[in-house]
Amino acid sequence: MLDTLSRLAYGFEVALTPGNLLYAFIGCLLGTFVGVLPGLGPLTTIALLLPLTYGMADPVSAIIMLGAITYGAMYGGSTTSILLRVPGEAASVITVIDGYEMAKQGRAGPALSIAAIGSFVAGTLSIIGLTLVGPLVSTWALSFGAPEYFSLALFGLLLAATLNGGRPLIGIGMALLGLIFGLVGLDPVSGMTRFTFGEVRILDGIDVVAVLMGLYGVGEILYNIEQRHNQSFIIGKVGKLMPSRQDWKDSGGAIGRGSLIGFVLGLLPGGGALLAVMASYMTEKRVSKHPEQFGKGAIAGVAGPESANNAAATAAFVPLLTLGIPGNIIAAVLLAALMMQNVQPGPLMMVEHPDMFWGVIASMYIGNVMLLVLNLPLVGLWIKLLSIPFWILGCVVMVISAIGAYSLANDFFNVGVLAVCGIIGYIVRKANIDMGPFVMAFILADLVDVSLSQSLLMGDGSPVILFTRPISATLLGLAVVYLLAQFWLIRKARSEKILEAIPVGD
Amino acid sequence: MPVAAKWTLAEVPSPNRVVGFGLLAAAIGFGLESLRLGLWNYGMPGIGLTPLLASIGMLPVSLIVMFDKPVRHDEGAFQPAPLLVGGAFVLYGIGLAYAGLLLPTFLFCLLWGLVIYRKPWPASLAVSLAITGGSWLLFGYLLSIPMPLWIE
Repeated sequence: MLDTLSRLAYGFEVALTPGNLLYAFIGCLLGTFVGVLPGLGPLTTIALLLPLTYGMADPVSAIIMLGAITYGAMYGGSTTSILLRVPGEAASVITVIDGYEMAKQGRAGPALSIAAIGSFVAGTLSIIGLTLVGPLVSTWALSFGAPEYFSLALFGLLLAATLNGGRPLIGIGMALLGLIFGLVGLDPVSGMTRFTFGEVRILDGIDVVAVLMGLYGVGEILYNIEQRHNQSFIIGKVGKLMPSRQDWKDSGGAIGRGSLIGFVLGLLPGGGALLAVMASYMTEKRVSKHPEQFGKGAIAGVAGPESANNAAATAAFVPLLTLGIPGNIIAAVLLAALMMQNVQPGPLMMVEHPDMFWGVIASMYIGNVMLLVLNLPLVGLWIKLLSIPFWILGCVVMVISAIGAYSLANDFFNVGVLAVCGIIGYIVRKANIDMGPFVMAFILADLVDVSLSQSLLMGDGSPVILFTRPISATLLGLAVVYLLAQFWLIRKARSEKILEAIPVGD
Repeated sequence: MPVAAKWTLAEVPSPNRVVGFGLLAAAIGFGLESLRLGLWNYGMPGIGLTPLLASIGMLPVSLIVMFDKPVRHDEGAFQPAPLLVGGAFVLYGIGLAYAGLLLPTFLFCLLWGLVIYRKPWPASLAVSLAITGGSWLLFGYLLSIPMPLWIE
């Protein structure tokens, strides 16, 4: 315990240098600035701003800034959920229900404050959890070999593919496609090329940032063209920011429960943010003395899910930093960013890059405080941003994306990748397909491929080794049980129309 | 009013079909290429093994996606405006490579305002000039990204 605290103190030493504090500040500001713009969710924000960290000399600073962008973008997403009923991400859908109702009643101020404070408390509690759990998982993971990593990656991808909606098969299909595209380029073991078709510019693989910017930046704008053309938002009066005594009373328990639910479900390697916010909302409705107020502006309906969302987002760092397996799509993007900085997250990260490991954790504390101090007083400014017409905003994003993609390698090839991925992003969005599993598999493809090859070599060509090692066998067994349970649940949900009963507004 | 509101591409297959067909094509194409790359070479797993397994997994999924009913009620036919912008964006990318930053950016923004959003000339022109100037200022001047500004 003392050892952990001294390492954390070292992390604060790293994060509190003036340079890193400045990067955290800029990250929070930029993340909120872009995240609050209607039509741009947290993931789009991170994808758009990722190239900014490319050229930074110090990888620790780059990751600190990216972490701050993530927090800022998530807060920006909550603002649009509450004020405009435009959820920035799937997990914000639940916030929309009561948050927007509160805004309509002229109580947007307390809703925004409680969302920010709940996120802060949940984030802080989760970071404490991460500080305590992280080293334990890292030590345990040191005993992992290739079969364990293969099974863990497979299990994580399975969870990622199936946790985000009611179409698990499509999620699995997208993950498999991501796996193939992630393998394009030179094979690190044999040195042979794979699926490059003679194109030397993809020998190092397709640039994940160009793919992300295309799928989530350009694709989102194309989708918004038909969804939000000429839409003007009517923003109600925000009112006073400070919640009343009754608001505090109603929210306190919800924040605590949301934090706990979010942290536990967020630990799942595959991401449980959506699951966490839904579980939190249902819990709050169940424990409330006035369940009939839910859906009509109950502040606990904002406090619980927002806390759960933030706690789950932070908990997703546990599998990322300790196992190298991202807990959700945002963590997957951060994994890509770490790899671009030549840092491989995993059990050895704590030993090989203690400045990065503990610096990032400490910067999360700082980012949370900064966000609270910075964003609530500036809420008026963020609201003004919402009045930017979409036809100008969309055009700016398209131009920034194109130039940003070029700047990745000072090469126009990535602009082509961006454009193609943008059109693909629009098509899959129209088909209501989540590209998260694709991106996660794309990023984890090398790990899956190398660990499978090594496992087969260890087993003299036989895959039986995957089933004879206890951890690997347990993970694969869990994967099979989980998959069967998923299909059973989906069938049950479809037959009983459970999904239709969830009140997500019109 | 954007052109999206004027007409739709009802005759184009639904997005689900397009995605399903894309998955099927990818499964077959990458699967065959994986076989060519080899499944077991020099006493170790070949580089085609993992992608072949993925391709095999994708085959049934692609067929299900093609014939699955849309889950959401608002999934409609493709709209022309996003596809038009997508096409224009591809041309913009090509333009950047051959004509530098300024002219393609200006033309793309002008097309965006005038054709897609049917904004008046003065507004479209002003926004196009502002975005072009702003992008030069930010990327060319402040961040010094080595991008050609003009036709070289």
